[in-house]
Amino acid sequence: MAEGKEDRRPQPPPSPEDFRPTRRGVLKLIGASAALAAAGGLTGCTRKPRRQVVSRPSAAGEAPPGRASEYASTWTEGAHPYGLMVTAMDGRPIKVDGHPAHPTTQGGSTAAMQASVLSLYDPDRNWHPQARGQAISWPKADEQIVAALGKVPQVVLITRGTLGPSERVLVGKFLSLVRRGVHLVHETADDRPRRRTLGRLFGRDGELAPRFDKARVIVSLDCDFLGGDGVVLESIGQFVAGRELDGPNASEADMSRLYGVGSAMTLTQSRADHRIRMCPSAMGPFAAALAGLVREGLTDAGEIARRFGVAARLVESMADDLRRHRGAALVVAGGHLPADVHAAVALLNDELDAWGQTIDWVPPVTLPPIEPDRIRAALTGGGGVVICLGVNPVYDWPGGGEEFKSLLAGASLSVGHGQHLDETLSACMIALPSSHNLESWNDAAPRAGFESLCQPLVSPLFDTRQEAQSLLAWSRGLAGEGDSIRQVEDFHDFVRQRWTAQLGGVPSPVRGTTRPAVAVPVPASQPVASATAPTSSTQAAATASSPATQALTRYPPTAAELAWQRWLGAGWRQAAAARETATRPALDRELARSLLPGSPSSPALELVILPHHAVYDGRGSFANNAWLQELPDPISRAVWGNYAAISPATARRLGLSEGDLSELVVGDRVVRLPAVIQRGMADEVIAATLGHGRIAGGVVAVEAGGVNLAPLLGRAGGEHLRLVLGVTLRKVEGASPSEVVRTQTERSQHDRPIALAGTLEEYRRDPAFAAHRLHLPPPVEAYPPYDYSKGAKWGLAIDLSACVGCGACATACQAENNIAVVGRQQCQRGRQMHWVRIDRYEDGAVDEPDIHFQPMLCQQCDAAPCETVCPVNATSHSGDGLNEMAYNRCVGTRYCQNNCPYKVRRFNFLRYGQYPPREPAQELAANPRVTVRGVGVMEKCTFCVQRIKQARYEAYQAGTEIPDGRMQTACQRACPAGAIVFGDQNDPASRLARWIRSPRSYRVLTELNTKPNVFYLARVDNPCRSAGILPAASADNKTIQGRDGLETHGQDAHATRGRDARDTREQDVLATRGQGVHATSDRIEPGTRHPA
Amino acid sequence: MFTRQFDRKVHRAMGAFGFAVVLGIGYGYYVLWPSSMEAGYQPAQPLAFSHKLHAGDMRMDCLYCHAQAEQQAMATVPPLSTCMKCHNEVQPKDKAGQIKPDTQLLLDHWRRQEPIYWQKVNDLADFVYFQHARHVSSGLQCQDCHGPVEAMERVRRQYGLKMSWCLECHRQPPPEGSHAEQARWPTRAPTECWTCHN
Repeated sequence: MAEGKEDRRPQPPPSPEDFRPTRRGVLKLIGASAALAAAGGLTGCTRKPRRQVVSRPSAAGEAPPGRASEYASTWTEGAHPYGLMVTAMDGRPIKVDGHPAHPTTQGGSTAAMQASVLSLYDPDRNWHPQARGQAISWPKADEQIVAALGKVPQVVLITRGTLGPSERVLVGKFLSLVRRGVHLVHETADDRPRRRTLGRLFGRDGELAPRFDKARVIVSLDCDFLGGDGVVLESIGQFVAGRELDGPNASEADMSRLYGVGSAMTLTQSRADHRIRMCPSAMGPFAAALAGLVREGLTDAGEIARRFGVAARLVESMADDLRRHRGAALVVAGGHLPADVHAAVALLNDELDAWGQTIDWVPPVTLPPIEPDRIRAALTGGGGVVICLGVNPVYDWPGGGEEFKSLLAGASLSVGHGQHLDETLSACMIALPSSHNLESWNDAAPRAGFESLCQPLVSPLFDTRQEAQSLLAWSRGLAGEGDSIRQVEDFHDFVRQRWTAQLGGVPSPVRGTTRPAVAVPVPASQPVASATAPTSSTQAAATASSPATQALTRYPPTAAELAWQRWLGAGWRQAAAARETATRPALDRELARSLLPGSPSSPALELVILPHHAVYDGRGSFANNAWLQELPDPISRAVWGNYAAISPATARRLGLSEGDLSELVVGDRVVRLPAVIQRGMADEVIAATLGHGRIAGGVVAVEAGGVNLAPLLGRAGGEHLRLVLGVTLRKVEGASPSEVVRTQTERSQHDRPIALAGTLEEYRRDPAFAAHRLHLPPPVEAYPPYDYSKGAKWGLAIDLSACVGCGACATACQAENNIAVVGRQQCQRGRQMHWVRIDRYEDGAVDEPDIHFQPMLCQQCDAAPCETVCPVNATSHSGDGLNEMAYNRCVGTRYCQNNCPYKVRRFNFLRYGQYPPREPAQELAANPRVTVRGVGVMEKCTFCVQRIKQARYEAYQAGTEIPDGRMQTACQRACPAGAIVFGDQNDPASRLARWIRSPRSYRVLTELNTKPNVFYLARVDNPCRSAGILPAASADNKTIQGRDGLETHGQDAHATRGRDARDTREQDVLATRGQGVHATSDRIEPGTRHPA
Repeated sequence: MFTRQFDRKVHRAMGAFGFAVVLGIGYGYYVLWPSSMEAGYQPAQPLAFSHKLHAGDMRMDCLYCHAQAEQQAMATVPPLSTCMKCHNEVQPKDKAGQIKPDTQLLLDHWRRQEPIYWQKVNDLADFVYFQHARHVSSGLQCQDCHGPVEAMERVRRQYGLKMSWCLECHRQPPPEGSHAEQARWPTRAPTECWTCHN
């Protein structure tokens, strides 16, 4: 076992050199194949292994092979707990989706949720406990730790903020058993300045719950509520609901309006109807000024506009809009912004009567994070035991992990508990492996008023234990005889006993009381509505042996036990008596006014450090997940790594061009990372993301590269960790440009009607505005049309007005359809395998790009250009309108890919399925219903034909047609915005048919006469007519398009487009932004900053 | 660079090597083609279960053991508990009064709660998604594809289960007097690629 660690670690991944055929390699291959042929004759080995079928002793409690069942659970790996619906087949989870009935989740999911099934089977996970680099058994490890815990003067426990209610009780119990126990919460991507300020203003720790569906006017101050700030799934659902257009009368359609005041280019900024580019440091004063405008009327809007470098009309119409929508307006501010912004925003919301109407105060879900200074102070003495549970401070310690490492070294015993052997676990004396979310029992309280449960879907794949289980084991070891904790065998028992006791209305045995003497019997005939996931035999054995559980599982079950079973089956429940705790305390207006900022100061460049769109803060199960690393950034389309994003004007001023290696200097800390020029960002702002630059914790995490920005966190002082003022950015002279890998380099639609958008006014005037912009197809029928009159004709519709571009669909597709990742180098060569990609277009003015998202997938054309060119008939047409792909027929000519105008066919050039190196554990992540494609084979979106077949079969068994909505594609199921609808075009009552009949409906590239079966609903924006100004660039009508699209060539950027005079599309672009008047007086000069 | 003779030798050697490679690959394909994919494959099983005895002489229904064939994609082999429904009582003995060895083997497995690993006889390729239930509920008999299993002492692969063989039925109704009755033959079985492959 001593060298076990080395043996079990995966080998380094194949580099592109491994794939590139060399002369030697080819000869070796020929020789090897000849040798294999000879050996084959001798040894009789077969190409296809003879397989076995197994008669198990008993099939009780097991789903039959090949049948999928769904179990409710809770996703606790992210920043906010979401409800899960996990699909299990053949005894293992294969797909994760959002819980449809869960209040905050509402069936949607994030990319990270979708990818959690891959991280479960991650072979890089920590396989067994280690002490000082040597493998050790769990009892031995527990023994050492408990012995140390009993001796030392101080125990420091560092956890994440997202502990569940039961875990918090357990932590309390654990700390009460040790001498001077301290619980510290370490988070880096949290919203601590916002939460602190709110806590001060309301007198009680809490969070804000905005109601984007109720608000008609939304102002976001650098708050990426659609991307990564707050309860994202809930926000997306509400935002989209507030912009619903499906009324019968288009002329009366209405939707909310979003003013995006932002520094970085985020999903929220890309969806803003009006975008105001502003430095974070100016946002506090701006919000205060805006509050003044709303309070006192539009007396000095021009003055304010000048102060902040914003178009006066925009400020006027914004303030006017807010005034007119008192009680239906809402202002939110980013969690990274300093206290003055939140004070000003609280007053502004107060002025707008937003409290209780469009924004609510709610008790906090997560534990409040502790300042690094306090953690430092607690650790500085040394000599104690430090336990890091699921945190990785050696990687993400603000200011750099070296400091934390030295603090760890001072401890008499350091224990790390995590899923991967990451930076922290490597630095700890004892490194313990944690179980995955899908292997653990847990609970969560995602909002005051309801609670959800997390149940394991599979027994731990490796010799792991969930963190709470370890805490429990140590508590049991420390507790004296007679302590009730000693009767609790495992964390499952702990959670179950705690809740059944509460459900039964008696105190929890954990607090030291015994179980109820009187149990309420229920009729034996009452069904137990539960879907308890199959758990491990070991767990089951442990559960059965526990006397407490035996009491619980007696027959007939108690009412509390039945309630627990029902709750476990449902996944979540409404908690009783939670209302009063959720009552909003009064806002301390005096304190808020005292916190208001003075005038904006402009020290230097400002650095905004945001959580990464996919890997968040780089926690183990996200960072070492190839699906997440290869999910393109929604705006920049960059994959595998991070970068410093700056605006074109700032890049010009600093002499930086795309991909230049640049140096970020804050005090004595220097971080080098490539520059990316991002349109739509505020000038003099640098935006970068957390989560990269890992040096340990798995092949993918390390391979992903990028740079760790933790050394810069909070360097400028103050509690706003992720906003650093006074940064210097300079080009590293002589360094070769390090390319930022992007999956899409094209930015412009080149005036073609691809991703269409119009304004609400336009929509009211002419609901079919999109169709009128299309080019008409030539009336030529090259091939006889198919007859779809019998049975279904499948189709898909995507509402671009609802799509926020998050990318959950792409990851869901990857999970459902066994889509390989290609790795950084292959992405660099323009290769990717995503069946659904989200095309992003940045048309319009240089500084004010019109961002369009368009999920692009196989259009399942009726006259498919790919079908006619396949020499081996590997792609053909089905009777229900699908464009079939038979992988086994494909010989890899790639003619189809070449002939596809939508560029949605993907070719497996190398053994992509082998990257990252496949291990037996990883094979389990594959969906057994979908073929795993090999090298040299073309593949593409199938409309999830395996699900169609399943639905068709179920309908056949039931003797009915497939009911509308029964069959959902993976992307549709995952979409948190409900932007995707799949259905039967032949059924006029289907939801799809209704969407297709929408006046906004159109198809892409109709002029090619491909007759696609994917419909898009044009996006409708809601800009304010009176605001009608695009600052700066549009006033000059400066619009740049072109392949590079990078405005980094100094004055070249001011070149006007040659064609725009006779370009109707250009006018559409202007109309899209409600652009009527050009007010040159309100221009902002690029590169200038707001005056101090 | 080299002499002409040497060049010729090199060319000949290369030609011979190429020929050997082609031969080797061809031979490899010939040898490596799995016999388990051919009709007539009849592997020895760890326990000599007789379908002839159970399904033939005893006239047990196939679905008694392969219970999922009516409802699921996979017909599944029965768990040992299914065997024990009868063999708890029925324990045939030989002349010496000993329980017959194969029955004893079953009882041993059951006592130790150990699974039995059978050799798969009718094995389809991984890229074929065959639905047992769809075929059984369409009225096909098990024997239509598996052959007269009730007459087999040791199960034998009756048909090669090649795609062309599947398509024989999917493309057209069976000719008069075939193994399946005309009346229960489905009017049109789909022949689209994604019917079986996806």
